[in-house]
Amino acid sequence: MFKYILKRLLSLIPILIGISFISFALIYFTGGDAVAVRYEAIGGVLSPELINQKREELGLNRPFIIQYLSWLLGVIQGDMGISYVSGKPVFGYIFSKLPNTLLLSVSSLLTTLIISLPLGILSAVKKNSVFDNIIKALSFVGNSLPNFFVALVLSYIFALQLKLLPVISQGTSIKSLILPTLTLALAMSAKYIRQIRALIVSELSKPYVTGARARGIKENTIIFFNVLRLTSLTLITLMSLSFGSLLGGSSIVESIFMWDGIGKLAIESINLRDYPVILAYVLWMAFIYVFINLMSDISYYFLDPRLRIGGGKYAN
Amino acid sequence: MRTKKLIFPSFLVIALLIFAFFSPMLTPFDITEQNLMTAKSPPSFPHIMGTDIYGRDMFSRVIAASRISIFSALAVVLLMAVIGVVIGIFCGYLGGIADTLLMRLSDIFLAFPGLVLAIATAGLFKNGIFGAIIALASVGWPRYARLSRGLVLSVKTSTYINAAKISGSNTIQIVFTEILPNIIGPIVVTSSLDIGTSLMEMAALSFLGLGATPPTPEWGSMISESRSLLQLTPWITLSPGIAIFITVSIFNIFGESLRDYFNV
Repeated sequence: MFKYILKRLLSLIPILIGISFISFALIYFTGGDAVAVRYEAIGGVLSPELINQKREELGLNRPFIIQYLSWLLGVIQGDMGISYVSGKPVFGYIFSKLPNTLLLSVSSLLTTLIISLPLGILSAVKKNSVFDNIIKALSFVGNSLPNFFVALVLSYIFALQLKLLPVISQGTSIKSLILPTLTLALAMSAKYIRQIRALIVSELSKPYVTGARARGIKENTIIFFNVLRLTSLTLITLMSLSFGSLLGGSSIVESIFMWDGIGKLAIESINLRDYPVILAYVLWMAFIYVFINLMSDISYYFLDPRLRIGGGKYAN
Repeated sequence: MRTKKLIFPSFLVIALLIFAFFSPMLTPFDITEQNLMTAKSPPSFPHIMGTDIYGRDMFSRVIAASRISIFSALAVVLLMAVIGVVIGIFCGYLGGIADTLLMRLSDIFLAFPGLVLAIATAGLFKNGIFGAIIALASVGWPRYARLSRGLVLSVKTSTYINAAKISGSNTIQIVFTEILPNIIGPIVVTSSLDIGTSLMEMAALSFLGLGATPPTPEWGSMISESRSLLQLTPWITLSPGIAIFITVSIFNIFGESLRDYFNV
């Protein structure tokens, strides 16, 4: 058990270093002059000599690789630089917004499961029925709608017309959470229903299901005790992979509903060219994504007895 | 029978592409023509999507924006597929240290949540729509590299490749006449299914102000521009969204019919 987790953790190190390198390189090569940006942000204009002096001070005249390494050293110690705009340390700034983004992501994921699991199972069981076809059509529609459009339609209906919910978030309240969550969950559910349906349909044609049916086991028991348990591994993989698109989508939805999370901060920082914050955003999102995938890997260990009993023999 | 199911979706897509290409000439009304008398009128005849705050016909504006919206999405898919497939075939066929390095690189790219990276880079390129295209393509190529590399590995040791080698074909010939035709199916399916997603992502970037910006006619930026009008004149905000929905649906139907055709 311990060995398995340790192995997974060690395999992450090169990936994490690669992620930090690519993020840094992207910002380094696509971004403008950090000093000019910094003073433009506060409305000042500097002479070339002063700019050069500032660059020297900030260590921006050093070779790229040295700058990268010193930044990486800082990150490891929890120092991600200072925001050009607010002048606050980036690490704590982003960290303080993290709970909101995670709350939104987790509640969207849960809502997705609540919507798509029953609908997916039902369409699989009632394959090719009217119900199945309606669900199929709905999930097709859901797949063809961009989430910012869904966000606007939802806020038009629930906030502007029915006046049930706030158009923009009023702090971190349940009421403010509903619309962003629904926006993210609807798009994901459209995908999930189809995947869950396909998963269960293929599982239901397996010999063990026929065997269980022949032994007179109730259909519900087969589905909930056998099929669902066996498909849970695939489900977890799907979930952890879609966490990535959820994090990307959350920045759009957060900015629309003014949900005070990392995504909204990131979009603001991009418009203000606040490089340290953008860099920290990309890095944080990638770390979270990698961490979630690690957790799903570890959960296999508990769900798949082959990994435990074989002592990891079947795990790569 | 299999081909028959492809006819209708292909026809739709071809018609859509021709229409989008000539769209600025096909608008029922002049999109620059302002008429403050009929401004902000809700959908009715002859303005089936209503008019905007200057009295311009929304339907015409939406049509005129289809060229950039659709072709920028195609550009994204084409760019990431070509880059990915070239890298994938190179890695799969030649192997060696370059293969290892490029595949590790693609692993790292795949470890990023895609849109997050695209949002960050699109904002920094400062090139509007071209920046957004490059940002999305640079995030999307590793999937194609992985896919085509795997496909190459599965055909690499086939008899017909050996036969081509023995009969004196060089690597370039083998890649183009033997490998590419045999692996193209799944790549075409994946890319056609990606068009809809790319269109939505391009629109999302423009919506965030990181892609096309007004006055460039593009659906995402049109929605963003008219967001504040949602309460009083929702048709101005929502019309481009309906266009996105219809276009993405057509590409998705096409992609799914291709998937059934190639059976992947």
